[in-house]
Amino acid sequence: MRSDVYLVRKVARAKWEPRAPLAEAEIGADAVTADLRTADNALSFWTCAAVDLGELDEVVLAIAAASDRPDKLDLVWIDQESVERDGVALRASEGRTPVHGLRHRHVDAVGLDLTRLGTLARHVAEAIRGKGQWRRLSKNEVMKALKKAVKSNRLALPDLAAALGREVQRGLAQE
Amino acid sequence: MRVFGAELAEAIRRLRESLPKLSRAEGLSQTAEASTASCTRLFPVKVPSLEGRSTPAMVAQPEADRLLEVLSGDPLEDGVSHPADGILQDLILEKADAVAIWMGALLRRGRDASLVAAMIKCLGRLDPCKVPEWGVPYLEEALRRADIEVRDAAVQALELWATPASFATLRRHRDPVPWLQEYVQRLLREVDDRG
Repeated sequence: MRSDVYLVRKVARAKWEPRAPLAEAEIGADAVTADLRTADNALSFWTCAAVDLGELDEVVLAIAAASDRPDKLDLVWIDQESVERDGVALRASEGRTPVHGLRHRHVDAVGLDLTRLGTLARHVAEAIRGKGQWRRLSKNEVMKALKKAVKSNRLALPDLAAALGREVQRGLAQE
Repeated sequence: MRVFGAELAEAIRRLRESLPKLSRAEGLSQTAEASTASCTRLFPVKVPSLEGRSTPAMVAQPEADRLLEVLSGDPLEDGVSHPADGILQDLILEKADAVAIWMGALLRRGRDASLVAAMIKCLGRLDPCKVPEWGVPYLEEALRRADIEVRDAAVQALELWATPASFATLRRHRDPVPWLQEYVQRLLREVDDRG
């Protein structure tokens, strides 16, 4: 794995805000159980190069196109090298997105036990609270990314979930 | 007949003022009978659409329980449809006034902020033309809650409705958490840019 890569994941930003009665530095279990839900002891991430956070737009597209409704999107990114150094194993896998050209940008954090999941949670919390490594896209921005991808033939409307496709189509018609 | 906004706002205000007086036994888990008694006591304002039917709490309780069960079992995720979306939509179409009362109690007394936030997000997923008239005032009240997840969900719901009333509500809001306030400002800039 390259060292200058970030692992990106969709979260719900508000869940990671420090909240009483927990202390400032503590991580609420609700944030972990909601945003870091594992399947087969693995957790899905998209990758993007650290040197060019414009690449984050590609992850936005990959995730938004795989959605079934256009909502705002909160993304967090954590340093891949640090995560691996802390004992979390990564395995490349094909991402679930209708944008074919982005599927290779997906990895799974695998073999997660409670300790490793806690490690990932700490990375996510530090990224959000201490490093500003998160970004919120409004519904409007998500729609813009999808419309742009359709217009440039990177994404086909029929490949989107039905309701999302209709909304993108409506948005394109209004332009 | 429908409940006018001012009457509902007044009813909500009365409910808020009266809640501390209620005993714990009259909480969200109360029986339908206790709910009925509470609502009758707390809502001297007539709710014409409910006359001749069961009282609001009795009407809504089973569906409300189902809604909470569905949301508790499977967390609601941005960008992903949820079974609760349809349940709440049907419930509001059939019994908007009863849902107003029940959701008002949930907002003020619900102990699980994440669950309340999920319910608000669900509400935000309603087609804007199907939003009941208590919708925007309800979200305005949600914006005043202490828990950021609840406020954030209210911001998102207002964003999704994207009506003049919802943006006016956002314009009045001042959030104590900088990133959420910044997001509200960004949404309003988007609206202004679109003209």
